[in-house]
Amino acid sequence: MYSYSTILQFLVSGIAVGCIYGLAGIGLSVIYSSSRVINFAQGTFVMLGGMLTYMFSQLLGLNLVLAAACSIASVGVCGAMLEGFFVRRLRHNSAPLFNMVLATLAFGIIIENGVLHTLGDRPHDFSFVESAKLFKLFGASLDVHYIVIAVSCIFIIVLLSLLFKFTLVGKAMRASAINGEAASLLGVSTDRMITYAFTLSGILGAIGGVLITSVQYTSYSVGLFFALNGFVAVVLGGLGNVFGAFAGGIILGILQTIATVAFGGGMKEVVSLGIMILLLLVRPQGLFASSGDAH
Amino acid sequence: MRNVLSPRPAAIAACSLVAAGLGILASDYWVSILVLVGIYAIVATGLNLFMGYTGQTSFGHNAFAAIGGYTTAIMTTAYGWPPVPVAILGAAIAALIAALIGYSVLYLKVRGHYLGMATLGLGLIVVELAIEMERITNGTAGISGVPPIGIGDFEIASSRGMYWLLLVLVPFAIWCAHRIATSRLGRALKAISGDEQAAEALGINASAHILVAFVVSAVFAAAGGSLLVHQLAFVSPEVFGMFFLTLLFTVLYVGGVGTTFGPLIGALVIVLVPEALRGFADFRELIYGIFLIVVVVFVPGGLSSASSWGPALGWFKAYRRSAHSTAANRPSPRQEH
Amino acid sequence: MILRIDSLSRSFGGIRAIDEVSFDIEKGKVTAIIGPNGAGKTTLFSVVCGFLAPHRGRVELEGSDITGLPPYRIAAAGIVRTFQLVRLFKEMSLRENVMVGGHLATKGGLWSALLRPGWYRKEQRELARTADENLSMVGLGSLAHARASTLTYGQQRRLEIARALAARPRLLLLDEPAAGLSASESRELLGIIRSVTQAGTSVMLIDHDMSLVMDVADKIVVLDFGKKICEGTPEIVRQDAQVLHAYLGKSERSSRLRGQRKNPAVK
Repeated sequence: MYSYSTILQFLVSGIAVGCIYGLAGIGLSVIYSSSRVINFAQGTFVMLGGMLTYMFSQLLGLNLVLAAACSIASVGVCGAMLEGFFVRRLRHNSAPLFNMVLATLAFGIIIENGVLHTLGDRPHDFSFVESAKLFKLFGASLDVHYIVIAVSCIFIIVLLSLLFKFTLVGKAMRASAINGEAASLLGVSTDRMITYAFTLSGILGAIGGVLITSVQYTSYSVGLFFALNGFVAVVLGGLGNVFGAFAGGIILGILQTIATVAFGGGMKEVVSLGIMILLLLVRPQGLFASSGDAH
Repeated sequence: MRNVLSPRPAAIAACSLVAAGLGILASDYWVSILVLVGIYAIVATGLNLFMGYTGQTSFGHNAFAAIGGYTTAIMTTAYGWPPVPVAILGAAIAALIAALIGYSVLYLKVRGHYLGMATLGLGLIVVELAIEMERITNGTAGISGVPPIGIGDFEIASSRGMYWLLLVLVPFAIWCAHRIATSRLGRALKAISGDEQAAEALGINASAHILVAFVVSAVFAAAGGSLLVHQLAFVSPEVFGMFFLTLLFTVLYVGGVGTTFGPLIGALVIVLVPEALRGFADFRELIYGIFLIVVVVFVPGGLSSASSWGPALGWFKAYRRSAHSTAANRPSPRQEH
Repeated sequence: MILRIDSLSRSFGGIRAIDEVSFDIEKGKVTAIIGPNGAGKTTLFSVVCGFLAPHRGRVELEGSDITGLPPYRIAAAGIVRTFQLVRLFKEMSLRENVMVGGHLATKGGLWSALLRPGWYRKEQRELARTADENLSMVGLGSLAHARASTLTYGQQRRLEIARALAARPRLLLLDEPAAGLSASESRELLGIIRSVTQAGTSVMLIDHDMSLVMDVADKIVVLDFGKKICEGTPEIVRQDAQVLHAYLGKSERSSRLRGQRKNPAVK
């Protein structure tokens, strides 16, 4: 049996990973809402966030925060490229949805291999705060980066809410997602909204990658893992529900922690798959069903 | 689904002659490459039934190949069982798992993206189990020294021998798939792919039919997995990981989803073409990824389907047009669906 | 009597799409369900066919209870429907489409597909022949090998009926078969429906084309706001006061009631 403080550490790290799943899930949701595409490269965005930050800081000597910012911006561009070069072409050719999904998968694989061949296969991590500063929470010592993650995520959620509710761009994106045709008749370019969606998802994924790499190792191959869990987060939250995806991610993180404590390390995918099947059985519209966006 | 290359006796005879000739004349190295072509063709033919004809999504068929492959490796090395019964056992286990997972998932009307993700999860779990269950699977180190396939004292110990075996098995696999596709069952599957609800209104139990396609494709994958392990005399979690899956999809899409010979053509192209760029062995997965995205975006129907050349030609024509005029002259975007 | 609908009810949210609807379908006859938009006609269809489950009530097909069965079971029991927006298998040929209709009338699964025993081959040849006959009956015989996506709308409608008939239904449900058809195409449709009943199949249909309905129906059931307000021969229905009110909305009462109807999505 684990000690109390170990369990607490597990839990906190589970919630932290859950936040990253949540960010990936929000990205998936935003892309899905705008274009009906499931972006298999979402996890790759997460991986890139961490790996590019490592590259910018270690190999190019940039200050860590600056490196993170460059990395996030680059991944945003990456998302835009995926949309601009591939997804848009497929959409304009009326390609079946599956082809678009497959294209995102292939894109993710290409990027992953690109990283493998340039940065190698060794796992990396980094710290924003000087040496392992710990803080005490309920009697257990926890890495201070968890606070960074928590604060960042709260900040992002608030920022996103403001973006979608009050800015013209955000409202245009929502309108386009609800009824693309009507929105385009009012001057909102669907193409551009989808580009924004992919860019935003890249940014969100990368932020997640940056955050998680401060507490956990990242390597070139974690992309698929985050894509799958991001998707389960979305299923938990409900496919149309952007913030439900975030909550779903946290729930998933906690459940994975419980399973790891009870059954051991390799159970994470089993938990994800099991949850997904369970949810599809019991409540396919997600726990926080919003506009009832069915399959 | 249109089939540009429909089987004509003369064409089949010619191809058989070429294939036989290759078996006799080609070097050992090329023969072993062709063996891989055959194995991928078999797995892709099975997946084609599920994804092409029935119109479903699976990102996890590497799991079934792994089940076939690992069953073969474990039972022949650790327990000394004969290869052919073991291969059948592997296929049976794969069929059982496919039936269980399929039944619980398909009867919940899980389709599309969700089915894709569920099968992806399955694939990841099986690979994870192969790594974790070290006592049985030897973890990441894998199992080597897998004996060659054979019956009794007769063993197929060389790549050339495997080639002749596959020269029989690949046409058999394609024939089986073709039989299914052109039967009452196949029609029902195509109907489900066209409009599931309309098919149900005509008395077709869609979930049951999709399950059959799923199980059959799992059996093909397991058979391919067993053959691959015999050919490599080795298995590890890597063998049936993401690279296998990428290759499988590329084979399927390059050849043409939903066609009879698509999987075989795809396998030929995908395995042979990079061989010409042999120096880039490490970059295989990258190359296949690039291949996949290029095919999916520019030649969507695959090489064996006439409809696919439309977008590619359109793009090419547009490029020529814009090269010849001063203003950019891209075709205007068509109606989105 | 081939179909008995007994106190069938189904709501969406707070709205009763169909409310305690009861009537019988006579064997070998054409029964038409009519009513203003939102009356509950398509909901009724969907419940009978198993696409929706009723909240109350029963559906009985020649004595057996088929309430709430999944659509493929109801089709197997003998009720086949067409859809309001034609749902063909677009990538398949006309003949293949109709042969899919014949799925219920034939047997054979995986092993038959692989081994092709004699009885199976014979049945499939028969099926192809019957499919061609069905196509001729609806006037599409010459296009047997064309892809379904190449048909005009009127042709698609006829194909859908031919396909439904291949399932040898006891009861054929036609959801707005005349929608989008020209006057001459509607006449042809009427002929097809007549020959269907002459062959012994019962028909239940929804439509808004009143001249078609009055001409082809042996019995008409009128729905309004989910309730049955009239049932009888065309002559009776044509003159019924409540029906006139429902359609023409002359009285103050029906205007007020219609004003309360807020959900246009329910039919």
